[in-house]
Amino acid sequence: MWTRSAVTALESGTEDKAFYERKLKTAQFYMSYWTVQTRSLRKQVESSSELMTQLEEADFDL
Amino acid sequence: MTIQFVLNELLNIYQRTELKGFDEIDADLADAILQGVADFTTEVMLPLNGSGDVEGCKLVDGKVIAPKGFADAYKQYVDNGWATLTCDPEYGGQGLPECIGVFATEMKTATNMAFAMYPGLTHGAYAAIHAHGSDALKQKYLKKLVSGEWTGTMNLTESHAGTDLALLRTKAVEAGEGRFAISGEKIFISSGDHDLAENIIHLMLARLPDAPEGVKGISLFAVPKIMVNADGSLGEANSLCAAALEHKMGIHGNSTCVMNFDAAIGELIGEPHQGLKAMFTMMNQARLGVGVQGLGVSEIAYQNALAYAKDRIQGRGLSGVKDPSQAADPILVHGDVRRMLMAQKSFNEGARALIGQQALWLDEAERHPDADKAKAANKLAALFTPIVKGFITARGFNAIYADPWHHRSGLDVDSQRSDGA
Repeated sequence: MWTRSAVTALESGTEDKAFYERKLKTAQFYMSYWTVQTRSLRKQVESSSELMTQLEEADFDL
Repeated sequence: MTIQFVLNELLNIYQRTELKGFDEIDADLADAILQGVADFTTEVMLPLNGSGDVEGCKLVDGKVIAPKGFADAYKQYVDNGWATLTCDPEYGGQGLPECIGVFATEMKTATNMAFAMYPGLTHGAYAAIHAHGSDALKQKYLKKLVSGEWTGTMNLTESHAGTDLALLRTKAVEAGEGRFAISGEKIFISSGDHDLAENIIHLMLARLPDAPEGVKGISLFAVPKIMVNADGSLGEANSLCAAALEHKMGIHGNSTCVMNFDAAIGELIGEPHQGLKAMFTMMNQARLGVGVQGLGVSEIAYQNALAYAKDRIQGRGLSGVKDPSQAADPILVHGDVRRMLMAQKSFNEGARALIGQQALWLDEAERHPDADKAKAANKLAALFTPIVKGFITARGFNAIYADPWHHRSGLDVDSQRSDGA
């Protein structure tokens, strides 16, 4: 979606240049801030799921 | 992304004329409708958001009264036709695509989520009856639900059965003439009772006497608050009531009720024991709606946070004085405030694009002339429905209760409730 948005912004950015530049900057920020988190989140899910199933009820006690 | 950018340039909906009904809409029409919704939500719904939450609903002599102003606002909502946007023209709807309707919902939720839930639940009830109800049920209920003169609810949860509906105990027994007597208690029923509409149609899950165990033994029923006569006029009150109000944070203006049904008369929707399937029509609609709620509250939180960051002065920018005319610079100059704001803004814009795409898939599933393409769109919509609901609401929650608190210095904890942030 973001790629499509950026391409659209690049292609359309003549009528309201500032608007489309904001779209590009927002897309750039999303990629650098949010998208990079997907790797660590995937790792978190994959590495912890096996341990989750191995936990005993008593393991939750203090 | 602004709504127009998503509809016009990202999704190109006005070029999708192969979809049934899309050839009747253009950018001017959609803009006019969305501007009308924007005006109504800003001028009528937003002013009631804070006062509605502070006042809350009241249960008086077994009847629920919505906060001051809600009934008048709802009458305007119905009179202006806002309830009818995406509904079937055969029953008085305007037949607009979901991809436009979701953004009307975003604006309603952003300005007053408690109020927006009254018509929101109604739309789910409409969708379930429309998809699974008999012709007689459709004739009986749909026109009034579409117009908003009557509202709807969904009654799933019982105190011991939330996510696991296999445990539900509410019973339905035949009462003659194709009707059923339904008894049980339901909790967390949004818009369960109120004084906004003359009738409320409760869609509820219950078990028939011969029902198999588990979720395969659940049937769906339409149970009116006031019985509806053969000529469509209202008859006697049904044997059901709101037993108590429940109090959900931030939406005290919506009547969340414990509902008691004591041999209340209802009619079956769809086939016996197929209630979960029918209910999931409503649930998928509701799940998309919940994702839109996440976006709506996140968006208004962002708009309020941005206004505050431009207005509030504290300290000086690291690279030097930005506004020498004041004793300090607006906090928007500070790097971490910028990070929080841009994180919120970019998330909202991405969520809006995803929601628009999800709604367009639903439109394709319903309106595409090529059955294979319709089926493919339906599969994509099914895949993304839980993502839209879970991801956007989780982030939306953070947008309201985490990041804005950092740069609003905890003011929201105290009394800044009326602006929705």
